[in-house]
Amino acid sequence: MGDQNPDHSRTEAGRVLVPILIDTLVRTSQLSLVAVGLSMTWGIVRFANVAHVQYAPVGAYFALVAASGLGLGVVAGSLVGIVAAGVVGVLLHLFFFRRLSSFSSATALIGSLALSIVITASIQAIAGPRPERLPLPSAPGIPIGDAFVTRAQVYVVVLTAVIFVALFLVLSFTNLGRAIRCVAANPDLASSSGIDVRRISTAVVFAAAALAATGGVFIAVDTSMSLEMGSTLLLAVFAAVTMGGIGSVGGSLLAAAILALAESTVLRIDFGAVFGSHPLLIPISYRPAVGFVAVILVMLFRPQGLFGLGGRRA
Amino acid sequence: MLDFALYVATIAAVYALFALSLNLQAGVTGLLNFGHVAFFGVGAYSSGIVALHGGHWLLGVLVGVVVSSLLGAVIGRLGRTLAADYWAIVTLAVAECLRLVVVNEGDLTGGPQGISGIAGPFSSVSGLAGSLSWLVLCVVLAALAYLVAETLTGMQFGRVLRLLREEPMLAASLGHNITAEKTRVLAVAAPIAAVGGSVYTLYISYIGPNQLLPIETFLVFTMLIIGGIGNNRGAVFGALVIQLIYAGSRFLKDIFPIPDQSASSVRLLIVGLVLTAFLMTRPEGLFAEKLRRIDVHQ
Amino acid sequence: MKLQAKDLTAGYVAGVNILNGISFDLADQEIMTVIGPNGSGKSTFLKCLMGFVPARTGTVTVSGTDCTRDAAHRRVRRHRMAFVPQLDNVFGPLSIRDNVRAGGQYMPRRERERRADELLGRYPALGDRQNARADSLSGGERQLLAVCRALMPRPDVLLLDEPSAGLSPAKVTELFDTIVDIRARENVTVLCVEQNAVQSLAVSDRGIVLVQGQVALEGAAHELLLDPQVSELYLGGLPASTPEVQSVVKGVL
Repeated sequence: MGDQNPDHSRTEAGRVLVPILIDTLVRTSQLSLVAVGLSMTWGIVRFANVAHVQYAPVGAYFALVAASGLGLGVVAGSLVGIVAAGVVGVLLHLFFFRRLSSFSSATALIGSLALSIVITASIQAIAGPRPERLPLPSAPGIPIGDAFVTRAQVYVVVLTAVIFVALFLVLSFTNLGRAIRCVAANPDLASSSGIDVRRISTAVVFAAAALAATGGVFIAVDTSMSLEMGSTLLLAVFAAVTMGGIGSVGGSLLAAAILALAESTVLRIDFGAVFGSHPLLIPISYRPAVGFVAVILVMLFRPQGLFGLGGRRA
Repeated sequence: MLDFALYVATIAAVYALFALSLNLQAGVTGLLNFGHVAFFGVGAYSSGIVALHGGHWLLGVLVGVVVSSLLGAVIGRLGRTLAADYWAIVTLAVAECLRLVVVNEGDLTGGPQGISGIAGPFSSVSGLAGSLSWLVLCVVLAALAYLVAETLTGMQFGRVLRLLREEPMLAASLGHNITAEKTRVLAVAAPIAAVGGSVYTLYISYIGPNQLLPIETFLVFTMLIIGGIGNNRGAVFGALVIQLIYAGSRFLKDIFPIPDQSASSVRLLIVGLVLTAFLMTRPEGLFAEKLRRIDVHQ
Repeated sequence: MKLQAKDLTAGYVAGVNILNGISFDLADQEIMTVIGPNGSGKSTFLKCLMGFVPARTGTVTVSGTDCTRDAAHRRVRRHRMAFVPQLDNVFGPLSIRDNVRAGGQYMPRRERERRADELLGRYPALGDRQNARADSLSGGERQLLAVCRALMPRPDVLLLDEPSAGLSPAKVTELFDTIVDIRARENVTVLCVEQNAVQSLAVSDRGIVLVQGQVALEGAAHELLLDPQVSELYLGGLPASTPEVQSVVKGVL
């Protein structure tokens, strides 16, 4: 690199770094919104709810129906879709998961697997297998250096930041937030402290499903929605939750960012150059493997989370 | 029509192999393997790849048995430090990694198109005789697997496994090495599913990555829940019921105007709803496992 | 009577009772110790009083009002009961101050903060590091934090499940001193399930011996300490005449 002039190498770096940055920010937003809800509910429901990621496509498709079908437009339609997904989450919690958990957590775990399949199959039967898009006007991308960022991507990142700040403030400084943290850490002790665990749990489940649905809508806004949305999110989201530490909002966000960064850089690193041989890039189709491998590694070596922020046993 | 009936019966027998294998893990030992399809995939692709290189079909089966057993042992070792739900997620991730490799390493596996034209043991036998031979082979294999599973669960080993499921702490304090037992059960259960995968591949003479989707694992769980998890007879019965539902749903579209493209989703929906209904109302299944209760509470 | 139970039965498995008709009453600001062998139903007894294990028959009355059908959180809020479980009795990821605040979840904000200041000021071991995570505390400090959390809403009745379990002998003495001090300051009635029978009875007014889910013996704490049968069975086989018990008894009398 010594023979290049500094100006040239700066644009060279920008050409690589800016797209990585954009990619990472957008992906972090989508992953963290789905992951944070799972993290919050895991301590409460006490089993790995595989169906949680399905609230993302549920929210996105509800938003599509409300936006196009009912003619509410994208913004109001998305809000309706997100709230509807939250309601679905609460109903499933009250009438499905609570019953299964009372048998055993294994039953609930298998039940959540069954529910994921039912949701995917329902979407396929009703909406068909082809990906759908929200009715957004096509806007020109905003150039940043050599890269482009779409208006939708800017909204996604900014709104996610707003949501997380709000979430952080509510959880840290309000009475409700403290009650939620208590219930997530230790439900029995929470009810010994006079907290109505059922009511708080229901509220958390609603918020968790709605946040996942928001993530789904953001994916749909950025690209498109499809019935595979949930299953492609599944392992990356579980990786983010365990990495971040179960029950930790900040941890999920941080872990989602690390994963997103890994996804967008691993595929751009020329391993050939690293080892001084022929160009050797990992094919783009291996992108999901980042999440798969991360979930295996984290659960094996740091089941209590990377940062020690969570509240769960190993 | 007869051909179709034979086909349904043969596939049901193959599914019985998967179900018996999963029952040893999830039912008897309480290991919720969400990546069970990986064992099936190892068997199926061993047969496919060996056939692609002109090897004898028996070699393919053998490779599948050995590789899956090793994979099983490795996954079992992973259970050493993991809580049950973490282990379930990890097994799912392992199976998904395998599928990703299969899709991407086209030179070895045929990529997304899969491998077709795989020659099996009865390729030279045509017509009814061929179908009957297949049925007999698969039923014999299923019967063998049933005997193996029954023997294992009836032995002291089976009692240890059930103790592991119900009271892991007690099992450990009685001197059982939990990791070793888990590893052993997976090393034994995996080849049963791999043989199923091999036979399936040879029977329909095709294998593709879409047969490695997590949905396949879910189907096998459904069989276990319907039949009664922990019970070998239940596992076989569940395999038959699911196969009948699948077969029956083909006729459903003659009655109801279901477009072709959503036929598969309707079928999945039916199976999913059946499983959900069982979990809600009769989680112990049709044939509940008979347990001698060991009360060690408080 | 502050706390009263009548013919209480409860259990986990259908048809099997762990508690077989327990009756007792506890006067205002009394300290009572419940002892009994392992499996006698001591823990279940507390959980049933608190509403975690539903009573199959019988009633629980606090300050004259029946709370048998109320869930645990209502017994805290409406009937002014407080409970310190044996294990997992702090919110690990929360700060020490938030743990204390959690006990006063339904107090007005200003009163809650004032009360938290009061309790944290009283126990510097907690107050000095009130922003640290609760799971960074030692066993004895956790127990103290759990008690502070329970005391937040100024309860009338405090239920303690084996508070001395896992503590070093010095800490055990300190803990029982704290319990006596709390009764004096807070005018609270205390029911304490204990393995550590000698020291617990030494600070108690009365005691109950539970055997197979029934009250086998009931009496003044010093009488139980001297009862040869009790000492043999439940005080670790120390005859009542050993200097150890005698010194404790002298302290009581």
